[in-house]
Amino acid sequence: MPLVFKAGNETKIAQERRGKLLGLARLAGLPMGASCGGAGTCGSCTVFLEQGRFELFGQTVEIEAGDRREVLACETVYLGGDAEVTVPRVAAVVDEGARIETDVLLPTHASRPAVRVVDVRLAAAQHESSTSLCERLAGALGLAGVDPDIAATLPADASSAPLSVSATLAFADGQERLIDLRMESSGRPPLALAVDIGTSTVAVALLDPATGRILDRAARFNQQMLRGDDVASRITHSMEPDGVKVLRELVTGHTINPMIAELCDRQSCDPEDIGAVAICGNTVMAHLFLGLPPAGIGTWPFMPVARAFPTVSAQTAGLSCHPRATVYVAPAIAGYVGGDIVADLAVAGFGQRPGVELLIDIGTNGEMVLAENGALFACATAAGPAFEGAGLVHGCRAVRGAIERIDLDAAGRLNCATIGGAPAIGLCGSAAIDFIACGCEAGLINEFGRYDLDLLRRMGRYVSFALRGHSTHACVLADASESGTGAAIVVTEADIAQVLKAKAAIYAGIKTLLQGRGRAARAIDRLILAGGFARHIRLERAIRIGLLPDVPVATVEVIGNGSLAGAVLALVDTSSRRAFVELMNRPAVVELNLAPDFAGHFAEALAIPHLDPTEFPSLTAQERST
Amino acid sequence: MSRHEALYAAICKGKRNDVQALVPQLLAEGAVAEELLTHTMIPAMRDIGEKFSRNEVYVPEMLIAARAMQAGLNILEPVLAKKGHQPYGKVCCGTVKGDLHDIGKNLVVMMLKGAGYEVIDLGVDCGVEKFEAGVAQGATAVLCSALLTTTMPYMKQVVDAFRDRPHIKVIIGGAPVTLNYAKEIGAEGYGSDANDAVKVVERLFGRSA
Repeated sequence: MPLVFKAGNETKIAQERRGKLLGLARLAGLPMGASCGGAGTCGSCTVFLEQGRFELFGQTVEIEAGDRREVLACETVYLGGDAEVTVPRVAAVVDEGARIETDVLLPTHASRPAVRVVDVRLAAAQHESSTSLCERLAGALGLAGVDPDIAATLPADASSAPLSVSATLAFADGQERLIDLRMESSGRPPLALAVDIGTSTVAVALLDPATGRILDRAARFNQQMLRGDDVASRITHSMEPDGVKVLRELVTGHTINPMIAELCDRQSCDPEDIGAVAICGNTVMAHLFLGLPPAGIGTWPFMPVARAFPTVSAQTAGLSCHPRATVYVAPAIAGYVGGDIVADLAVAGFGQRPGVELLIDIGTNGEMVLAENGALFACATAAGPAFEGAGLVHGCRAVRGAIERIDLDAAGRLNCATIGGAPAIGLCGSAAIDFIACGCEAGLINEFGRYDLDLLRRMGRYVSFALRGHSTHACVLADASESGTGAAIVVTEADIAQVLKAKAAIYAGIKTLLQGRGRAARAIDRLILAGGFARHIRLERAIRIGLLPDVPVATVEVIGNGSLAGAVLALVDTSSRRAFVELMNRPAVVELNLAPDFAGHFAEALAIPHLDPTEFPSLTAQERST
Repeated sequence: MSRHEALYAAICKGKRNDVQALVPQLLAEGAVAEELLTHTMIPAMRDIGEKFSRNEVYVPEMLIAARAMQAGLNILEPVLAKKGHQPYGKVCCGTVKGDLHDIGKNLVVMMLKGAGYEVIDLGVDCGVEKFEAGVAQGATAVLCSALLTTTMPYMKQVVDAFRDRPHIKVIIGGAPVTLNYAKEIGAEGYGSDANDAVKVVERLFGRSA
């Protein structure tokens, strides 16, 4: 007498006899997006009850076949017995074939590895001088002291005899410390782990810190997503009883540790070979990783518990590495501009040359930093997850089957390319940008993001899509027959509006920062795009829709995942950690909501590419010339 | 007295410059300020608001139309004031304490002005004292918005502060806010979007059908 979930072509059966539908679906293998974390406000877990007994707001509801009812999975409880629920769209939290950025580009650096092994020989102790095993070791290793617990692991007869030992030294808070001692070298070099904790995705790289060689990498969706898509919902969840503990365990035990196991398995090494870890993430992610409550960041003045974090042991952090491995967490600039941005700045060598530079981390939080002859200004735009595909009716993350590129050819035919070439299951952020850009070029979409319905009908792609009780105009990207979900994949006018709001937030942030220094877009000498998503945007398309300012494409540098690169840098050259500290205090943080012109900039940036054509002179020139 | 089609269209299309040119021109030609407001401008905003609720226009167009409307109101207000024009009611709007988001709140302010109400914009990060100050200036409805799940709880404090004065209506809204939440904390009204907020206010002031 089971509960059956139907999602497109898939059927999954819940093993449980009772529970909230959202959780049961996840356990049955159909994880659903829950942007608000199950608070009942975002609608992303909408499902249809086809039959069965359920409880909704304290009332029992009996659904008969044919009696279909639309509910939120986070608010509905299954009460047992035969039941069927249709999941209309799976906002995939699965990792199969996910396109997550793990490229690492480092600036020039010295070699000062965060963990190394030294073989030393202790001379025989002099009987006259009063000394100790600890002091003999410390002396031989050039350290101020060593942990007695480690010294105690040496055999008893080691006390005074000459001794050869293999010592593993790891860097923490400005100096090295002894973390492991063996009579003989294990023959395996110590390894280091770089981690980028993003709000949506966590990427790791296993490396040899002495050579900087990346042995392997992995990426996984941050399992905290089950408690909300954005930092605000995570903060809210952290305020519940044991909230911080639960969220911490979701990122360490359920996200990072499984990846460590996967990498070590593939590389035939032992997780305990990892002697140093570096973590870069936004301020809320850093707090939750360390078990610090982020509640202060949730309301003005957005005050974190700390901006500089102590280096802790892997055991304290709950990571499955050598228990004494040192875990470094990059410092943050402010509540909403974190260590991941500090890492971006370090890796890009930002703010060290004359002229105007702009760095944008295109992701959920849309942080950006402006440099004007070395003076730095930072802000966060809270663009939202539209670029990750969330909030769009058929939006999905960059997984196998996601439409990632869209082109309209000269004959007006729409061509969609999916990740892995698999049948389309949805479209991801880069495709949404493509669609709006080429749609505008072809006259299919007007400057406010509305379709030319006649043209859409002539293309045979018009469909009226039912959305929350109203119908909206939509363009079919893939028919039901060719899609991977059994239903047509569409882009509605509501979807376009969501992307426009996200891109307007970013553009308004850029404009506010520039105007604050009396500058215009043409003053930008160097535009740096960071973030995994940045790698997949077609720059001309991003400028066409007005997400990026009108700068020559040659001025744009895409550094990809700067957060991960910064973590690697902190492990191969520990002196870079000083640069991080210097960077964390340099930028003046601009609170966009308090900037009087921000709202106006936002409204004007809602049009494609902008309400004021003089903002995008090269596009206007192109139009005039055709 | 029919509506002026050019002005109506300019507001609907968000052509701010056109509105700024048309309003003084029409006044100079002898149009009555109050009639321009009630027969052309308010209906234009109501039209846009209804379309928004029906998903026929979205936030981008609504925001741009509201700005065009505001530009027209800025020119009209001194003229209306001189003639002793009375708004339909007086309300105050603010984003709650700890929250700095104001774009949605600004849209509500513009839509309410566009519907003929006098609106005291209390800004952002508003504690109970700011809402009290709005009421002291004559507002009989208090509209609170919150955009973060972390600042929503403050709405309860606002509702509690006015519980002993039932003639002051507290209306809440914002992306994470729901009708259930409004009922839970005892708010008088809930607006699901800017247009809905106008409808709730109209109902509370006894102006809707």
